[in-house]
Amino acid sequence: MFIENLKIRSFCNLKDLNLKFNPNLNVFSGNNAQGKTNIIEAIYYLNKSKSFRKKKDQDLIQWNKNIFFLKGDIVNNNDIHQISILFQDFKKEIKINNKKITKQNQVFNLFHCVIFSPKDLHILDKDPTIRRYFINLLISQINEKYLYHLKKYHKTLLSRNKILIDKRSFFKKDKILESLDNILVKEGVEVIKIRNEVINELNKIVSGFYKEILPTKDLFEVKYKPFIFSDNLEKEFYDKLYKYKEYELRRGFTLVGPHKDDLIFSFKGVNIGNFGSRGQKKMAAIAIRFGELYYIYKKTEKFPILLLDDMFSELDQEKKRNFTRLLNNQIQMFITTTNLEFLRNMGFANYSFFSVKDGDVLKNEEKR
Amino acid sequence: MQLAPSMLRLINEFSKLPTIGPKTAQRLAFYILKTSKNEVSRLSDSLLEVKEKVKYCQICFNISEEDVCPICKDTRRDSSLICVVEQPFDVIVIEKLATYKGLYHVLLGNISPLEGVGPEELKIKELLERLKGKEAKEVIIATNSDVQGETTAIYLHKLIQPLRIYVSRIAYGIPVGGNLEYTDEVTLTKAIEGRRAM
Ligand SMILES: Nc1ncnc2c1ncn2[C@@H]1O[C@H](COP(=O)(O)OP(=O)(O)OP(=O)(O)O)[C@@H](O)[C@H]1O
Ligand SMILES: [Mg+2]
Ligand SMILES: [Zn+2]
Repeated sequence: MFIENLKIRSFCNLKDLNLKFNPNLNVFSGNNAQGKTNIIEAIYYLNKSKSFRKKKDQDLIQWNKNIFFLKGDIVNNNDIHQISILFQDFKKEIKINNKKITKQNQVFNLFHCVIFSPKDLHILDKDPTIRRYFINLLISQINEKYLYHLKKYHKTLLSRNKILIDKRSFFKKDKILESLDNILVKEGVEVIKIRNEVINELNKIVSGFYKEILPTKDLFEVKYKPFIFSDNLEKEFYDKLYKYKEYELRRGFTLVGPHKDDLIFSFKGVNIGNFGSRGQKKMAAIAIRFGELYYIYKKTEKFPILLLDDMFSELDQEKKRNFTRLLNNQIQMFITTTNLEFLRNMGFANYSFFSVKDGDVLKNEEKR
Repeated sequence: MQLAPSMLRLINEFSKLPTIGPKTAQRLAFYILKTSKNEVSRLSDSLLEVKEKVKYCQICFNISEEDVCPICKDTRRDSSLICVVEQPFDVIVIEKLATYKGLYHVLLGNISPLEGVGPEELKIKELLERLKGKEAKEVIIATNSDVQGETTAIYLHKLIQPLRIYVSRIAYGIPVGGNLEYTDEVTLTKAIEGRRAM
């Protein structure tokens, strides 16, 4: 599975481009601030309708323009599907083969992508929000049921908070809260169960990978740290809601549930987020992306497209080599770099090299 | 170009309607402009007529031109069974199936904390009054499967339970969208047959 063509119109600083990609390796080199990452952003956006740098959609429109447009041809065996996204008037319209779609999963059925970027280090920050975002995005791409439960959980949470923060005591407030508790527990338990399953699988992949890239006998692990964890999730959830209710009414929001969950990364049993060295953190961040890559492969039997933004500047020679060994020629890759030489010497069989300058992209070299 | 003020006003009115965006509102306004005066007055008459003639049934709050709607009046229907729905539109959907023979109760909304809609704004008091009369033996709650619909269903269940009336909830299949409006008629038949005790 690969992207064959990409049409770009008034997206960030990029010129209006019609790019033809290599099915294996695509390298974008150029000086700083020329638009390399914006190419990666365009591909990511075509897949997820979101910016990987968490930019607002509106900020992806080229300055002085009022729309942006992306269109890509996705090749699966002999099938070609065309995905297009038009962003205009604060709304996006996504089409597959010229027909409007209503669910993002219709795009995920065609392809997935995984990004490695220097920003990934933030997955080890103190704030767990980014880790929950990571796991929610990963699972909902693969599992529509999860997305359904998660959305419903979230909406229930908002509704419940709205009642909690309302200081008036009104008609049957308790009964409404109880009703919302029922939904919160039902949906929350589903979310916890699925997270548990996925993170277990992810851990197996990630700990295996860590051994490959950093030859070591010591164990690297990703563990789920759920707020509710006993054998009887439902009972524990209700008990905790009951226990915290007075406190919640004072604070005005919900204090228990899977919206408080976290992921823990550990090396030899020690939490890397809290105690790891910078090098360990870097490797942990890479390992988790590899986990994502192979997890998606396992679930869909197709390799996602791999986007590597500035990855190689981050690694020493040996790790670079180990890293590239793990990539294979069934994966289409997009790599940005300010330094081409290393990649030239890696001996890839098929590749296209592009140079990026002031938003313009030129193909320099090609081998297929 | 500046549009005539009366045109702007019409466009503005149209764009207040659900699902009508600014472009459609414009198209509708220009359509009205081209249409004969007779046509237009028929349209405006029927708008007013609906407002004047249609009211809510005093018993079930379905829309009706009489004080009591034809469904409530129909003595062949099973008055021991009451199906609770959110909107009059839901009654039409279920009636089309022609498998349900009980009565209805329309709440005229759902409990929606995010929009500030509580139980007092719905026809819940009226439902409880109805249930205190002797006839009703079973209530089927057919509110939507979204968070507001579920909240309403559980809330009603808690209120009705003490009255010793059997309460069941319409069984929803695989979650897709979740509005009755989008449920195709076959799955809805199954859902009514497959209702479960709450
Ligand atoms: N909406 C936009 N319209 C126009 N230009 C933009 C927009 N958004 C970002 N840019 C500009 O695009 C330029 C290129 O950004 P990009 O992040 O792609 O650079 P890069 O080639 O990856 O650089 P580096 O090597 O430093 O990572 C930046 O100078 C940025 O200011
Ligand atoms: Mg960059
Ligand atoms: Zn009636």
